[in-house]
Amino acid sequence: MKGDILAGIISVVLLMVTIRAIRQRRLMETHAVLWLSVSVVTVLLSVALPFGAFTPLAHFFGIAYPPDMVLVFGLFFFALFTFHLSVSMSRLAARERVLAQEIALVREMLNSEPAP
Amino acid sequence: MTPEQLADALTRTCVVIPAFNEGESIGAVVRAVYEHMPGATVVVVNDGSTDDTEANARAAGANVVSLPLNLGIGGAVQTGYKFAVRRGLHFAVQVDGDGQHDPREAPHLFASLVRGEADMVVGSRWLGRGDYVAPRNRRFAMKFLEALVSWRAGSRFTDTTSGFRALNRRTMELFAEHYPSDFPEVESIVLAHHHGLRVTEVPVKMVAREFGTSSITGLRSLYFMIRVTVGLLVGVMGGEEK
Repeated sequence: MKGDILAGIISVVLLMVTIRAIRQRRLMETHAVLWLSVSVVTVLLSVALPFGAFTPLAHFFGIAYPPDMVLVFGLFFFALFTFHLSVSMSRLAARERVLAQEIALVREMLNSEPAP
Repeated sequence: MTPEQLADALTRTCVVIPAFNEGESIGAVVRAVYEHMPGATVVVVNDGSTDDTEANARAAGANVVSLPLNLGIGGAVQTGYKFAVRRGLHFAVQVDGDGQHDPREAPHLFASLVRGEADMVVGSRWLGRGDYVAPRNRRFAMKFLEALVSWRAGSRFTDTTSGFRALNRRTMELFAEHYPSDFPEVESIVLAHHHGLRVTEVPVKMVAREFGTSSITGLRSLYFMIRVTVGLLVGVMGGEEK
């Protein structure tokens, strides 16, 4: 039971942090939606778990202790999300490269123009 | 190739010199290029140097394209190719900024490009000219890359990491669009081959570097090998590029 209370507290804190970040416009819209759903889902989970809501599903997957199932799905989500971040970062790096090159080439053109 | 053909080709040539903190050597390199490759357009790509690379290159008379941040060798060389493409030049020769490449050797790189027999020519230290000796600890890596690239590119390459190379317009246009970033020399050979371009090697003389040290040592060389191997096996294989 105590574990559920801890999970509940963590979820509520996550929800508050997310809302704060959105209000301060530190999160991109798509990421804001994602983190809001994550916080809402964890809040719901911490409420639903003590009532045994996931016990049949966990047993279907052969997991004896239902919170472990939530953990596994959580890990899977984070693996996916870090991969997504990695892909986004690579794309940003490629764009940064193009922009830096353009700036350098344009600056060279400005410098090499004969004085009026 | 007659001297007239060479002189004509040089007027349509861009010499691309990537430089990161090469202030000590860049002036001499630029002057040597102007002396031995008269008529060529010379561009020094200053890759976010913190020393006097830009000033010294300018003083030696080169065009200088200064990147606002350090992109690494791939991004720098690609900037040079973009410059050459936009200037409407037909050939590009890449020469390192540290004085390792002798511009007197450039005509050897040109011959088959000008005759239209190749789209990209890589200058190799190991084909008999010159007396360059590789450090012992590098030989295994070089042999390994040689085998890998020769397999992926369908013909024999002996000096896959050589940055002394010449391209025609088609190859320049490809590289202006797509060019590997971290360790581009090896991968670009295979990339060009996979785009149906003819890549060949010719013997050139190289001198041991005058200034600085190789950027690839110790643990970094291990990373280099892994990175290049993955790049060659995975990166080029699909050829799916957005």
